[in-house]
Amino acid sequence: MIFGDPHEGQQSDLGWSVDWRFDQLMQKLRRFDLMIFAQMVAQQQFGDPSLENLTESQKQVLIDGCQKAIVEASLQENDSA
Amino acid sequence: MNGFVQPYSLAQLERGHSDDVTVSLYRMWLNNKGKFNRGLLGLSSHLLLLSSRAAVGDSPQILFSGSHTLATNVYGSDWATGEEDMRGSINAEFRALVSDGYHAVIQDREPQYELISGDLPLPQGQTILVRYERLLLPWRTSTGVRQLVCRTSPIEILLKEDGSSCFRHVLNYRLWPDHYQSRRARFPIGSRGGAPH
Repeated sequence: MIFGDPHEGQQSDLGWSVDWRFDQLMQKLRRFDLMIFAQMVAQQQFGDPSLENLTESQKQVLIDGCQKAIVEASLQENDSA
Repeated sequence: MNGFVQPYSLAQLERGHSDDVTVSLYRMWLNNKGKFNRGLLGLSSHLLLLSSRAAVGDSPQILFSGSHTLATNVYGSDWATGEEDMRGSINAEFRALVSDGYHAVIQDREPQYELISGDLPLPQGQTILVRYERLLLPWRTSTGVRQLVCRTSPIEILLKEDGSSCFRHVLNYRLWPDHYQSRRARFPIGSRGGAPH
């Protein structure tokens, strides 16, 4: 499973590149309409809410900062299914 | 655990009782019918975002804590940006004390505005008395994902010396928030930094 699997946690992310995981994160943020949440994290961490042109380390920080919200959204989706 | 939670009427907020950030947040929630919007971004440094699920007698998981929240000021910026469950740093009895408001918002999907006062043991061993107003709002995204947004407006924080009834007045946050911010950087809560009166 890819980034954000609530049952796999970070273990499933091992071996995948940061760029690939960041792309997965963006897909999930769009899917759950959580881009504003990610912008809050970016603003707090980088002083700028933009999610464009992030460095690899910034992408990693954003992945970590959004992971709990993505897992939470996935659990809600499962509950309502 | 010494403490109490006193619910306030939302009518007080509608009349402008509380600080500008809290009133703005409440009006934004009303105007957008609780739907996430970009306006939240401008207030995010003052906000705590939490899960919309919580175990009985406990608070929800914290998803985000802005740099100017009461929680971040008490527990530090490293806490606010850590990967672990941030509730672990917050005393379990205190979490239980303040949990009813979260559960009310989760169940009723209506705002909750209250005064909270209680002893808060810190991980370092000291205990502080915190007294603050808390506004809890249920927000949702267009896809139905729900999160709670919490805004705390500290009234005062008192350092309790060795469990005695002698308090040292650390701050009146509402009157001197900037003083508190700058002072805390030099004298973290629990240090011998003195206090404004």
